[in-house]
Amino acid sequence: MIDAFQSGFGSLIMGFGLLTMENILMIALGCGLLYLGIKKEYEPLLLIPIGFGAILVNIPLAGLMEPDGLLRYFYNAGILTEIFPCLIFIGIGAMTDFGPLLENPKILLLGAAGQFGIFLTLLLALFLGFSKLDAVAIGIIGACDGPTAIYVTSKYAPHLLGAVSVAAYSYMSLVPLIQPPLMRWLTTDRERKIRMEYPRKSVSKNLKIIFPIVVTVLTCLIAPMGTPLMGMIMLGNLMKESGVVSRLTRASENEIANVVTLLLGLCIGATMEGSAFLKTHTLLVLSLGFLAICLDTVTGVLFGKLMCFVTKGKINPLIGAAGISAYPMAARVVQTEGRRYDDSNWLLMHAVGANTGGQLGSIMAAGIMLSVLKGMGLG
Amino acid sequence: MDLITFGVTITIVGMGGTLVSLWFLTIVIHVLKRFFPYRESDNKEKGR
Repeated sequence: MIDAFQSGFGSLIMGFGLLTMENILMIALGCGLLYLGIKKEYEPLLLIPIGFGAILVNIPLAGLMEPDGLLRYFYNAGILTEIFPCLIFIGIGAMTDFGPLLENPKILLLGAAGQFGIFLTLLLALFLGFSKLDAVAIGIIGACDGPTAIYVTSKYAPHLLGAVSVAAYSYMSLVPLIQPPLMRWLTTDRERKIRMEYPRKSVSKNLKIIFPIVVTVLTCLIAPMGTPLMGMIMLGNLMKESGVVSRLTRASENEIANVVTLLLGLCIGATMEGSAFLKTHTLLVLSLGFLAICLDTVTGVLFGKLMCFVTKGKINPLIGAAGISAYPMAARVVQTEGRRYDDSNWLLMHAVGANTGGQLGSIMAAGIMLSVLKGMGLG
Repeated sequence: MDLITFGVTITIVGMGGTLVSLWFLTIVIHVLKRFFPYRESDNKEKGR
């Protein structure tokens, strides 16, 4: 009888006994992410489920990521199959207006330049001793696009998923802090005050409907491995622009995107188990991710300066910083910076065009990288 | 394949491929704008 009581009560305190310092640190980190999400409102839709998932997975004996654990079911169903990022992309496409980009198509080139940080960071990661596929997963943080980063990392370096996702989403929310100093450092006072003309309205409804179809066919022929991502974002956009499937569009923007975001965040948090996450390479991944976004901003602004020179001053180089995929935050940062130097300079719509170009650019860069890897026999 | 070859290849093809692809897309958009020019009637929205 006494033994039975001892066993029974012992089971109630076993969790405390098995709690390691790593578990405690990760629970604290999870609380930190919750603080950033709730109090500071940094990407709360993601940081709250990620933070809570990190807490749950670090409770000893809970077994949430064991083969029959709750979070394991979500992880296997949505992350291993790569379905979650693709579903989110339908919602992103349904929420994106490519009109400003279509008004001024050359701004799309800034979306390309804003992705160069991916590859420069990849090179640096290789130099620091990461394997080829790990370097690819680290470089993709520079895409500044959570679903793209998750898609690539879950495919090639799932052991880095926690670090890469936390880096991608945290730094995306910190874009208003990261970008402005770099923008000021790289531009002159005269360049910051350049006013850009707004083109006369020149985008027809038919063009907005044809655009996602044409983009899907052309870009997926160039980089077939990017078809799941590009196809889903363009499907969402086509539904929005067609105007005839408003129920599907609303569901994509709201119910589907919200449910998947919740489960995706939980799954990312579920990969942040102490012994797997608290390693030296995690700190390196976080540092390289920060560098990737800085490099994206630098290359985007420098390309903006080149375009300013080529167009004889018609392009404000600041909009190059919006060539990353952090939509629409990067566009707002450009608008704010522009108005610091000229209160009546409205760069927002041009920056939005560059920002949507950055979305296309990030998916294109990821698709090309995946296709090259497949061609090399690594995919 | 050694790391340097891998890194340089993926960087050049990746950066170059992204830039060239989007430049090509820019030209396609210009062509599409000629085939689907803007009309005032486009202001009317289909029932959403």
